Amino acid sequence: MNSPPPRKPVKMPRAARGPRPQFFDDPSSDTLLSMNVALLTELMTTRERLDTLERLMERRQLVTREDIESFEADAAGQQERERLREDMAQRVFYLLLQQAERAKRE
Amino acid sequence: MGEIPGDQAEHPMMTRRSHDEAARQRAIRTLRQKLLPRLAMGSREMYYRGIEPELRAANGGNPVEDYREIRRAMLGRPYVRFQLGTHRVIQELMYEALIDAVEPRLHELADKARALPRGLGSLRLDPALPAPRYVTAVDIHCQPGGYAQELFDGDVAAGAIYDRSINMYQSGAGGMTDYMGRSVIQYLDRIRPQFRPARILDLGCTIGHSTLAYARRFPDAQIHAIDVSAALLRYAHARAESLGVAVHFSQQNAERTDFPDGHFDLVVSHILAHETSGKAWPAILAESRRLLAPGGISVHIDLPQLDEIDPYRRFIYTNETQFNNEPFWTGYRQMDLRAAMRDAGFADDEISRDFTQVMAGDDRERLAAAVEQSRQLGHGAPPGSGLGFALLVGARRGEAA
Repeated sequence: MNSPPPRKPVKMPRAARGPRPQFFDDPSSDTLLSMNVALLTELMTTRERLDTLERLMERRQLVTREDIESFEADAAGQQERERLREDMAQRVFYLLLQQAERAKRE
Repeated sequence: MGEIPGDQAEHPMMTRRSHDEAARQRAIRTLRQKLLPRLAMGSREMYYRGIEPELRAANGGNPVEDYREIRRAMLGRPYVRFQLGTHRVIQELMYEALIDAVEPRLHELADKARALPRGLGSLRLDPALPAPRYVTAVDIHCQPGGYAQELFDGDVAAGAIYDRSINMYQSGAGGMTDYMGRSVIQYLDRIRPQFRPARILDLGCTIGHSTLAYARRFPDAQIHAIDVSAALLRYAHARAESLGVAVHFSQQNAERTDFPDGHFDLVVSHILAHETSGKAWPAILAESRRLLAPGGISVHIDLPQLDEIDPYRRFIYTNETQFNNEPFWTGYRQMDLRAAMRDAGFADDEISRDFTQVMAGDDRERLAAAVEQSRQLGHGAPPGSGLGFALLVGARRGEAA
């Protein structure tokens, strides 16, 4: 019995066709901004994983990888996570939000 | 399953995600739906409290009308550049996170798309159909590879990416992400409560998410949906079948289809117009007219034209052209739609323009959040018209058969 040959993984394009706009006079600033936002999403992702672990620890005091992969937060947990993400977004963007606040005040 | 109310409902065709892949997609959704509107509100404050009075003074006290003037002044502010730059980055990261989950499972997804259909509707592909230039010139919305991408025979990647992107992009799209379809249905119920179309056609249907709303509202109707992308249609077909809905999908260009004259009682499109071209859109309107049976109606939903919104919103809108790969966006928004409808063969009294009052959300709280998000982003139609999508309507005279 021959099993079908393993199919080659597909490499998908990541860069969209079309010119990428530049928002700052120095293009390095555009790159730095993108790295910062990407870092923020990674931190959010890690924070969510940590939350998963903490909830599992509470629940069972024993954690396996399977536990983590199959974990789904309950409705309250999901709401709490949404709040954590919003809070973190606010902290990282504190400077712009302060400028917005100033604009409203002045 | 403990999801946030209004979240997208899972269906069998959807891409599976690991713990972290799902968390990353939720993180980007939060940035897009909660952070970006707050940042946009800051720019708005800067405009109305600082820039607009300055421009008006320089204008001899006259109101500022030219969005290009607003744009020049706004882009002079580092805050605004950060806001717009962040907007773009989040769009790019959204696709990164979606592709991260689709890429390793692409063969599995293609297999599922082949296995799920159970003969309720149908799928008719035309490998000889060329994808129009307006679909391939740039990748619309910055989705890498574009909507017509075909990485191998049986590919569904473009559909898999698109499906999960809708709820990341737009809050309040509803569990079935069919808010556009439901908005048109809400309009039809308002103007023609007795309307019972026998045959319905959805143009540029992508993954058929709007299409299915018509199947629910008009369960006895025969429903057809077309798109130029095979990858989107394979996904759409498998998705509809797995949800138990009969739709006949075919790969066709809406500028010229192979359906007979007068074949449909209802022809619709959802935010398709601004993804076409100055030549293609009038052709699509004429094709819609050709396909309408006597007494039939065509409804095309899109965002309002530039002269239907205030100058600040014009500035916000036109950013889409340059910053979000929407080449026809600004051109479309300046098009004389009534003239195009007349050229398409509609009589003056058969043409109308309307705005949706609210998005037809399935959850009141979520709907309010969506309207608020849209308001803060500076989208939407004139005050009082809710989220404010605009409807271009052609109602053919005559008695329905």
